[in-house]
Amino acid sequence: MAEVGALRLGGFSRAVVWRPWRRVLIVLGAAGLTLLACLALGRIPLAPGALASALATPHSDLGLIVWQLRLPRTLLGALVGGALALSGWLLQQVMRNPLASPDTLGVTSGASAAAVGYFAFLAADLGSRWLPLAAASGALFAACVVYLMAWRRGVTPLRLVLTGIGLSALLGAVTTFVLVSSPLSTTLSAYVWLTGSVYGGNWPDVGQLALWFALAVAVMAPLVRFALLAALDDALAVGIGVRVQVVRAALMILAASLAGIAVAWGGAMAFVGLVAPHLARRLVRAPGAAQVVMACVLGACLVMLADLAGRTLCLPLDLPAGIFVAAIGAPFFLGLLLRQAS
Amino acid sequence: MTTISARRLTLGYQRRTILRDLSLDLPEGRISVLVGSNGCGKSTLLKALARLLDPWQGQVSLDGHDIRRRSTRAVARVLSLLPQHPVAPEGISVRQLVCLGRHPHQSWLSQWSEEDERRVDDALERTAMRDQAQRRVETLSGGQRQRAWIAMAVAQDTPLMLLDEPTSFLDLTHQMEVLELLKSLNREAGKTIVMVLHDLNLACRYADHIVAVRDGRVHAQGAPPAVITRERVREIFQLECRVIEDPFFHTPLCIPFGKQRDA
Repeated sequence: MAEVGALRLGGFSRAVVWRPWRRVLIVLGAAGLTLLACLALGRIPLAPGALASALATPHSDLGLIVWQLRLPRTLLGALVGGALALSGWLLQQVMRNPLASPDTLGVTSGASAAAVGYFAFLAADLGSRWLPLAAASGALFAACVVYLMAWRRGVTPLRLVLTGIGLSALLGAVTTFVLVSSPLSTTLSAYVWLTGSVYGGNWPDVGQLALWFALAVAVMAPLVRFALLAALDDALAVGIGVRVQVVRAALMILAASLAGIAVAWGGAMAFVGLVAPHLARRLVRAPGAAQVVMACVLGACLVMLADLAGRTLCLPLDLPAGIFVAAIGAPFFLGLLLRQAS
Repeated sequence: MTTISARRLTLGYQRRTILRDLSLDLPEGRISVLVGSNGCGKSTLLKALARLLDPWQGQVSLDGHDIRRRSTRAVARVLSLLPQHPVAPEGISVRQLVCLGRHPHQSWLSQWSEEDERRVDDALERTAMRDQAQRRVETLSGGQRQRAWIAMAVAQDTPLMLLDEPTSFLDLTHQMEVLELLKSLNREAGKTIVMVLHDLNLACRYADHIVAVRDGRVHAQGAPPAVITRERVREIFQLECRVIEDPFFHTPLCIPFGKQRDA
């Protein structure tokens, strides 16, 4: 029993499983190093000493590059990745399906359709200021439609997944239609958005996303224990007094919101929401808070690395991070699966 | 203590009626076993008693009050349930699984009280799962896994336990082990146990009260010798048999005959 500790203070009590947190700390350390690498590398690479002095002097030339260009962009990527990973973890719990992710649930395609529609019809008049709002509402709208269409005296995970896949296909068709019938300049900016990019991320973006992210996390924290119970089948969950339908709806709204705010600022960055929770589950076996934090940190690392690759590998081109999310994530993911199978 | 009963219960799936105007009182502090042929509605009855299915008419009463008028959490503090094919979340350890049973007693503030810890340890002890506590549920054998699920229900610390075929897919040794465990929970911890069993002879051995269900109605109920007779078994199962007294346990022992042969 040594591995499970108890935190008790008056009426407050929590069980703490210490062991997995060691790994979380290690990965957090790796995330810190990734962040530093993202600040140091780029068109003008900085040695550690130069990076330190640039960080110390925000108003020097190098300081401006690090503080105004690289840092907000990297942080934006980290937040986008973290939010997508949390959303994916929640959905995989609620759907009891390891293939569930914001992409399969129609959330990403809802955001995409809304964003592409915005580029085609509204961007000329309104600029890109309201793009995050359009994308986030598209995401939430799609999630609601999926939920309502799956409803038949309650929703079951299987119906949700199937409905989500169906709606995704439909919204994909809408997106493609708008893209091919729009002028080329619209198509190009829409396409970059669809790939997922944190190009040009600035401090106001980071501030807004961080605010939403913090809000979602604050809502999520007390709900994590219900997310763990959502993995039980319905009869078991009812047996221990869980209001299955209420919990399922609440967690779905939360997951859709997290994905919605992530795609609003980062574009339709596919794959993070699928792969980060999986990696987290490989590294932290027991479902629980440590697994959630692990997923979030891994998602952040993945997008930071992908963006780093996007802006350094093909200099002078600055490629959207979304391309490299899959390029980095997929081999790693497949490797893990292969290693586990052998 | 808590009593559970059904009042004029009618319900089914989609348009098919399974239970028809069924009333039933289950004795407190005893082991009740629901028997009947496949599709007779015994599992449906157990699910209705466990509030998993909403009745079309009638009600399930807990201590005389409609079970649906109480919050599902409040019900979970007096009634635990082991469904037929429970599925454990991936990667979960036996101990974590048993801890889940404490959920109806926990709140946002209190998620691992000393009481929780004591009950979980006690449940692991009673079900002899202490040495397996750190193992992952998917690595357990069938018998151990069933004991882990029962441990979860025991940790829930309810006076009433409902189990849907707790011995299915177990070999005879492990069937006996599970039934002995349930009997000790009844005799030592005073739990009221209601379960569905397929094996008529084991049902006779372990039940204080047998409820025979046929065509969605209670066909007969009472102590095993009163319910399990040659005529009754023919009516309930459409099966020819002889019933003798078990020479060791003195409960009815049903010896089934095929349709062709007679003795």
